[in-house]
Amino acid sequence: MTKRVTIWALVLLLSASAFLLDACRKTDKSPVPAITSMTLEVPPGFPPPENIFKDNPITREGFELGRRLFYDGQLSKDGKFPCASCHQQFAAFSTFDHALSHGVGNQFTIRNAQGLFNLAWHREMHWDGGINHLEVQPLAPLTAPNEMGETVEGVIAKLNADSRYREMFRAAFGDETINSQRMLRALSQFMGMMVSAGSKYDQVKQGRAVFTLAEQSGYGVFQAKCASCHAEPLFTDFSFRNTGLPLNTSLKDMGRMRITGKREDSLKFKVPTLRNIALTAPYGHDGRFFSIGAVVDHYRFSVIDGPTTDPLVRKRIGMSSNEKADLLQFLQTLTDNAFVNDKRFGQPVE
Amino acid sequence: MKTIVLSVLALGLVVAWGGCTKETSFEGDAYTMRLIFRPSANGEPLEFGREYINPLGEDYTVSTFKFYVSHIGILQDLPQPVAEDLEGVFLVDASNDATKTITVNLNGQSFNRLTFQVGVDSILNVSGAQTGALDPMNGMFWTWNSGYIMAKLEGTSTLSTSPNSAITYHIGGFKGDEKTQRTVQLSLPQQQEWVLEKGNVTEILIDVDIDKWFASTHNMFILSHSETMTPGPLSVQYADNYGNLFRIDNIVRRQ
Repeated sequence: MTKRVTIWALVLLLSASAFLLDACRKTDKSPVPAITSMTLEVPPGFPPPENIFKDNPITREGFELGRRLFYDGQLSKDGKFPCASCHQQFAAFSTFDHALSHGVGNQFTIRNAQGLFNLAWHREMHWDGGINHLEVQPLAPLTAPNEMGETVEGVIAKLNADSRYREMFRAAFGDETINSQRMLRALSQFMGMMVSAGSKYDQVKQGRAVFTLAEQSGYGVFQAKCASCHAEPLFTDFSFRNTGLPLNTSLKDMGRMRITGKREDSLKFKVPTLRNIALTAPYGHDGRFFSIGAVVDHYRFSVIDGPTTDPLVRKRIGMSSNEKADLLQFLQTLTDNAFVNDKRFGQPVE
Repeated sequence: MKTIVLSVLALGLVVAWGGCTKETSFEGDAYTMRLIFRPSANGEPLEFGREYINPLGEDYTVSTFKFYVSHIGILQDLPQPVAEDLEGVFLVDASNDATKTITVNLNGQSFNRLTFQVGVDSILNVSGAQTGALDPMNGMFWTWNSGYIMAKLEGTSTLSTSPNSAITYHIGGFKGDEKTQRTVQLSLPQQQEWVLEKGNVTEILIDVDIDKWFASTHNMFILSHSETMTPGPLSVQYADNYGNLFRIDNIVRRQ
């Protein structure tokens, strides 16, 4: 008897508390549409992601809002440069066939746009690591005069003038307020949910496919000669390294040193992932290599031993032509076709 | 039995309402204090575009002057605050009168010194998109090297070596030896003791002397540095200086 009463009391207490807490949260808001929560799936073998959704729980509505923003030219000054202009899904969200990305007014940037996927595992973004949280990442291209060329005020004003956005912000965040935090959080939900772990490599790891002999041999080459920087399963260790590329004298991009101001960081750039590498040509921070083979040959024959060149590549990487051929076969297994064809991440249908 | 159920229920309601009505982060009485920042140069209220001479003998004008204030608190003898507002972060913008007045509620009364931080806590520099005073729309966030500009001074000087004679100081940095947050502690005029009271507001008028931006802890010649827009040693020196801009002019009670 006593037990049953206590249980009832607890149930009542919990529902009363929930009701009251809920009531105060919504004081000045009209009825809020139902919100569908989503979760970031951590692929088998992946480490835990960064805790970037702590204050920004992922919802279907927030994700769809982020998706619309990602594909919307209104985020740029002239209306022609949505995020998707430099981050194309068929190229694993990098820029297809462009060494350097370009933005409003026919201007080039100084860097090669990287693919966007598995971003929830990155603590720092950009080739120089200047961005410390996925939520604030979009501010960089949005405000850069040679990228989207807009201002935060300008974008927020445009979104506010669009009744469809007011409705989408309400659906995602409970009311029609449109501010930069909500815009950035919606974009973060969309981009953070882009997980790519469906390559042949992943299937082999899960015992659902087998490598060809050449791929298997190439995997061995990879493990022996590449994996200390391009660490599995994300194929990057997120560190900054000088791989012995000569300074590009027209761009004078000093990489990580631009952020830290430290000489020892001169010419260091973030180790890029090798996932989807076959889709993200050209390669390097300035896109100077147009084939994977050319990158491999750089490590075999042309590394410059400068003051900050990484010890792991300083003496160049010895590799026979057969090993190189097998390695190239293996790298093809890192392509995730399901990801680049995943309709959830495609341009929303109007 | 029924009594137990009812009292548990009642307790539950109280807990629930407690979570609801919570506006300040403390229990008990709150005392209201209002800080009014008054930017000045050459001993007179700041006027945009007017020419001033800094203590190093260099001319300058001001077109923008903004800084963040946080951790407003009161001190009494001990280094630990008697009371402190841990949550509020405010952006004072010399061009916007409303932002120069900051009102906080504190849960302590007696003090002989005022304290606040110029700048934004490091954690808020790494926690993603913020809103309110910290909205990147306020032009105080570096988009290419994540982090807040803690204080910003812009204008012109005939001694500037930058295009259009501009002087541009965007001071920030929150990591290790690049930190540019500065804690300010100000004595009350005539070393007086003060007690915050219920039913009235204590108003504190604070002079913000821009001349000291250029010369106080360090002599920062415009001729040598007409612009600083990255974290690093130079920003740290300007931060040392902006920790010295403040002085309490007056403290009064208002109904």
